[in-house]
Amino acid sequence: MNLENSATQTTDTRRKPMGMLSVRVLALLFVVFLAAPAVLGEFWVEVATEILILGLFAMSFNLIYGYMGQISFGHAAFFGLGAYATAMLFREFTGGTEEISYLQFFVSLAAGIPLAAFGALLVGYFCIRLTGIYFAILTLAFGELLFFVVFSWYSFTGGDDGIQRLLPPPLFRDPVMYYYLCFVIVIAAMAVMWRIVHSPFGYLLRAMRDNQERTRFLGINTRIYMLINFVIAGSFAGLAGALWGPFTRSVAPTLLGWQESGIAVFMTLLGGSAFFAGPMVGSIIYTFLHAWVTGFTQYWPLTIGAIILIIVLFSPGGLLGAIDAWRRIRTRQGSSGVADNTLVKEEPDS
Amino acid sequence: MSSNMSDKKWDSVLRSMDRREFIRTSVGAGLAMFAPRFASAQSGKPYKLGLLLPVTGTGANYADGAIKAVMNATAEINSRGGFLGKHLIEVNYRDTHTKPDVAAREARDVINRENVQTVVGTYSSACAMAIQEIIHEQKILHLAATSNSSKIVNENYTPYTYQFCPNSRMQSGSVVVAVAEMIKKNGWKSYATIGQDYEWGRQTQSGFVEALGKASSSVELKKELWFKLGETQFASYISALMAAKPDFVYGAIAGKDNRTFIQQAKAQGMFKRISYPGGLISVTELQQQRKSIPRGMIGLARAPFFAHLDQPLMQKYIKMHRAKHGEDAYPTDWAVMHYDAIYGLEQAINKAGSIATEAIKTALKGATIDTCRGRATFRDCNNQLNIPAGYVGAVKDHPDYPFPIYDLDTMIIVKAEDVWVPTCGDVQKLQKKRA
Repeated sequence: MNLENSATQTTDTRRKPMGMLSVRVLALLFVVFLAAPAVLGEFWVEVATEILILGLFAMSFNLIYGYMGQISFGHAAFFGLGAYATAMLFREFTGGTEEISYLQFFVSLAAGIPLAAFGALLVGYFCIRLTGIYFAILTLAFGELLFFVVFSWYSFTGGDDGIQRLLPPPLFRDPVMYYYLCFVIVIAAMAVMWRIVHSPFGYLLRAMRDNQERTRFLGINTRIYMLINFVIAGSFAGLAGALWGPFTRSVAPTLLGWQESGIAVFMTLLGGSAFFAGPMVGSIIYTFLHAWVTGFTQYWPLTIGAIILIIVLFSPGGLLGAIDAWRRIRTRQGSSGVADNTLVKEEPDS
Repeated sequence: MSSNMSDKKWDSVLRSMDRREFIRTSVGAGLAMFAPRFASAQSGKPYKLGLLLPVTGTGANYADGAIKAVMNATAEINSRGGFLGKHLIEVNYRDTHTKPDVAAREARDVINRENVQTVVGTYSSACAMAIQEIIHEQKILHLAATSNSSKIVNENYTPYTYQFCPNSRMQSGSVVVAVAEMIKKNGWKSYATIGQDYEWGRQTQSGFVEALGKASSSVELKKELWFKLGETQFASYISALMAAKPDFVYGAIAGKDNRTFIQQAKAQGMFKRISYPGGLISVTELQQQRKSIPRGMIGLARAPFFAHLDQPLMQKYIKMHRAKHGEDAYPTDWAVMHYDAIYGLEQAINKAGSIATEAIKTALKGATIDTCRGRATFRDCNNQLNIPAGYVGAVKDHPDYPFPIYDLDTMIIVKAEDVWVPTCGDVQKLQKKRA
C-alpha cells in the first residue's frame, strides 16, 4: 500500500498535507528571524527567543498530535526534565558561583536531551498501550507525577524553589547572542524533525494516525513506532527545556505542569496541527500576543481563551489552515474546479 | 465605631475591597501612569516602578491589599509632585500568577520594555528568587515586601534586594519564643506540624522545629504533614493530626489555604481537642473570618496595624486607607508592608537626592527609615529590615473594630535581633558569590 497516497487522500481538512505552504512559511520565518535583532529592541529580542524555544517545544508536541494522532497533556514533563537536567549540571559545574565555561555550558545544554528521552521512554512505555482519551489522560497523570516528584524532592531538585543562578557564559549573556544561539539550535532541530517526518518512519506515523487498525493488519508493530516517536518528541521537548533554563536564569517545577503542556496544545491549534510549520506559527501568535496584551491588561487568560474559541469554531485548521483554504478556493476559481487534486499532487506531504 | 456593626455594613466594606475596587484603582493608576507623559517641561523624568503581584493563584488573597497600598502610596507621593517633588511615579503592574517562570518573564518585561527602575514584589518566595536573578543581572532595585523565605536575603542574596518583611526564619523564631512559654506553662510534651509543600512552608516549618528543639528539647515532634498549594480538602490531614494526639499543632500555612484549613479544622472539632498556636492569622484572616475564627486561638501576624497605633506613619496610613476604602476598612499586614516599601524607597531617594539606582541602593544600605512599624534599620550584611520578627497573640473581640484583633494585653512582639541569623559572619557563610 502506498502510505503517501493514503495520507494525501484524506478528506479531513485538519489532516491534509500542506508541505509547500510550510516550506514557504519556514523560508519567510527564517529570513524574518535572522534579521529580527537588527530591527528589534532588547525586549522584543527576548520575546523572539521565547518564540523560538516554545515553538520548538510545540513542534515536538505536534510529532505526537499532528503526525501520530494522539494528544498528550503531559508533554511539558519532558520540557521540564530537559530544563532541570541543564540546571542541575549548571549547579554542579558552577558550585553556586555563576561562573561556567563554554564547554560546561554546552554539555549542560546537551544533557537535557538524554534525560528527557529517558523520561519519555519510561512514560511512553505505558502510554502507547492506549489511544485516544486514555492516552491523553495517562500522559496527564504521568506529567503530574513527574511534576510532583520535582516539586517535592527538595534535597535534589530544590523543591518549589527551583534552581536559580543559571547564568550563561559571558558571550551568551547578551540577549542577541543568546537569541542567535537558540536560532541555530532550533533551525538544526527543525531540520532533523523535517527529515524524520518525511522519512518512511514519518509516513508510518501518518498511517497510524489515519487508521491504526489497518496499519497493524499490515504487520506493523504500531506500539514500537509509537514509542519511538514518543521518545523523539520528548527529546526535542527536552532540548527546548534545556534552552529555557539559561534564558530565564532559573527553573521551577511549574515548567513540568499541565498548564505548560496546555501552552504547546494552544500553540499547535493556533498555527495548525496539519502543517509542519504550524506550531512555530502558533508560537509566534501566542507569545507575541502574550507580550503585547500583558502590557496593558491583566486579563491575558481571557484574551487567549477567546482567541482559541474563535480558532476552534471558525478555523479548526489554525492560521495556516485558513490560509491554505483561501489558497485552495483561489486556485479552484482560477482553474474551473479541477485544481484540487493537482494541488495535492504538487505539494509533498508535510 | 461599634463592634456589633451590622453584617450588611461590614459586607459593604468587604465589597469595597474586592477585585472591582482593584480594577477601579488600576484604572486610576493607569491614568496616573500616563499623567507624567503630559507633565510640564519643568518636572523631572518619571520614576518607573514595576509591581509584580498575583491576582490569580493562591497569593491573590493577600495581594489585593498590597496592590491597593502601592497605588495609594504612589498616588499620595504624586500629589506632592512625585519623588523629590518632581519625579512622578509610574506604576507598571504585572500578574505573576504565583508561578516562578511567569514572575521571571514579567520581571524582564517591566525592566526591558517599561524601563522600570525598581521592582516591588512578589508574593511567593519562589517567584521572588526567580525575580532576583533578573534584577541582579539588570542592576535594578528589588523591594521584597511579602515573599519572605530567608534564602532571599541569605543564600540567594543580591545587593539589589531589600527585605521589608520579617523573613521565614525570623517568623518561625518568634513563634518559638511564644510557644516555649506555653510549653512551660501547660506542660506540653508533643506536637505535630502541617505545612504548605513549597519553599515558604518548608522553611517556616524547619525553622520552627529547629528553634523549638533548642528552646524546649523535651518536646517531641510526633508527625509532619505536607499538602500541595491550593488544597481544598483537609479532612484527611485533620483526622491524621487528631489521631496522632499531639498536645499542639504548628501550622505553616498562608493564603487562601490557611482560611480553608482553619474553617475545616474548626468544623471537625480539632481546636477543641488540640491547641493550635502560631498559625498565620494576619489581619486578612481576622477580617475575612471575623465570625468563624475561634476566639482565644493563638495566632501569628507579620505587620498588624493594631500593634503600632502609636506610630505617626501608621496613623497616617490608616487615615488614608479609611478615607479611600471606607471608615470600617483597615489595612492588612500585606498592605502595611508594601506601604512601608514605597515610603522606604522615598526616604532613600530623599537621602540620595537622586533617582539614580546606584545612588538609591547606596542610600538604602544600612539605612534607618521610618515605617508604620516604627524606626527600623537595614542589616548591613543582607539588607534585612529589623522590624519586629513576629506578633503572637490570642484572637479576641475588640469594641473598636468590626472584626477581632489580638489581645493587646498579652500579645508578644518579638524583636528581629532575637531570632535572625545571629551574626553577619554567619550570614556571609550562607551567602553565595554572584557574578
